[in-house]
Amino acid sequence: MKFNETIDVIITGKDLLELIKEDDKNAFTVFYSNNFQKLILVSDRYVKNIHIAEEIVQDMFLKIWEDKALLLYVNSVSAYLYRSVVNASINYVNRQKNIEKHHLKIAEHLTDDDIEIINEQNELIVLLYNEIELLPEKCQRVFKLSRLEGLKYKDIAIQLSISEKTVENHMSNALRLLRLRVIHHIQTDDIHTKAKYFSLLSMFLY
Amino acid sequence: MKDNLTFQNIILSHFNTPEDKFLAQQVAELRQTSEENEKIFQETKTIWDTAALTKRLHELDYTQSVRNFKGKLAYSESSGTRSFGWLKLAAAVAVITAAGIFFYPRDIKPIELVRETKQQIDSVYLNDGTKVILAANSQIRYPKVLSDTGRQVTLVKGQAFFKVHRDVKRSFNVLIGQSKVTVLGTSFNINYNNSSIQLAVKTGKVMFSPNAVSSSAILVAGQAINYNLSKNRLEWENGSNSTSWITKELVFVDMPLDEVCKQISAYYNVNVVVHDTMHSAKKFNANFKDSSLDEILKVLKQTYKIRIDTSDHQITIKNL
Repeated sequence: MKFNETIDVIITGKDLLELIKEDDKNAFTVFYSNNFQKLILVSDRYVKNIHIAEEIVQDMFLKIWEDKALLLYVNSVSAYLYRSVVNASINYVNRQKNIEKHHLKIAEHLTDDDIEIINEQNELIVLLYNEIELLPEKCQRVFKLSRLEGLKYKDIAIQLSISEKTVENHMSNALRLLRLRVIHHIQTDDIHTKAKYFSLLSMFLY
Repeated sequence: MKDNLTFQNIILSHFNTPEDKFLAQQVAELRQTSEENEKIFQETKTIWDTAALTKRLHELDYTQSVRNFKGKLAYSESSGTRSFGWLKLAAAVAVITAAGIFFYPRDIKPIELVRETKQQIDSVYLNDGTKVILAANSQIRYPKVLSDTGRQVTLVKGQAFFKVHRDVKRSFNVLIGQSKVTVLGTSFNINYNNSSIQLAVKTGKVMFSPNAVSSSAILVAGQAINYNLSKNRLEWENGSNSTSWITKELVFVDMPLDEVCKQISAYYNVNVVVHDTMHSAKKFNANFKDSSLDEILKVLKQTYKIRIDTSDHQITIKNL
């Protein structure tokens, strides 16, 4: 069961402390479950390994738990989480290779605006990830072969022993459903998260 | 509704076979016919592109990860917060917050300011947090307090780099002559002179409207256009070094020789003429920081079989 609480409803460190007051490990686990995938996506870009990214993100959450009082100084939990993940990932890569990578330096200049953009993109990725799993079986299989494996319709048809026209129909259905689900998700969120999703919508409009 | 799916499906066919010029043309035309069509295109494209990025998440098991974390958390101990320390901290925070509250009067008339540069570059912070870096011999006009309904500034002349503060409630517009750039929060470079407007996007997305009648172009990070004012013609360009005038860094990634020369020409402000009759296929990959033109030409000579002749007003590059 998921709370609807996301990084953006919990804005400051104090908000998060409110949520996990009196050592509520369950609440903190829920907070983790709502946010870890987005952060793993960020770490993965640097360490290029999902399982290491998972370790890094989990360690970061545990450190936050162990020094909860420091949250009082945190103005934006979102920015704090993203910057911590990036720093931890860079440290990991540097420790592994001991070479300074030019492109990693750019991460140190991440502004709050950059973070907001990355966060929204990653939220869309997680949303799509969940919605794709809900597609009807054959439709889902075709869609994944196309978008995750990069196959052309022709090759999907051969692989699944169906006609290319059937592949086209499944893709059409998938896009129709996903568009509906994403727009629906954007429109039915409560007022707190509406401001955030308004900008997600703008990603479509622009 | 039937019509919407038809257009969606044409778009999908186009994405599946991007090399099909007829489909590409069809999609480009249909997009222009209505706002609804453009919306369908953007939705379809966003889902098509973003879906591919979900692949990495499949290597993760959601339930196992949460269970795993819960287990680690169970064994973790919080550092004891001594109650006195807690109270002192809370008191300190309260004092700082109280001192921070103050009121400033609302302007009745919007005050407009002008910033102009001569030989030196300069930067301006707008009251929403947007940063504007002005090149030499440039001028912008901006309100002291940006309006609640929409943020608008004017690039009167020259070149400027904009790092726009993201505000989803108000779009940000830059007026350049008859043209307009519209964004929510991104960073981009505009170079405005008598004959053209050059726009290059560094992060985010922007919409460029040449004038009130022509259709707009949407640019994403890495893209650039050159809008010819007299011919009313828009051309797509390579925007990789659009902010070199600030960073003093030139980056070449898989760039063909003629494009490299175009970028060098723009940055060093010299005329470069290329006679590459052998059509050098090799792509150029290099980074230059604070380099002189001679240093770069030297590297080019090492990379390609060319002869470089420098005269007073132009550099000519020929095959050996």
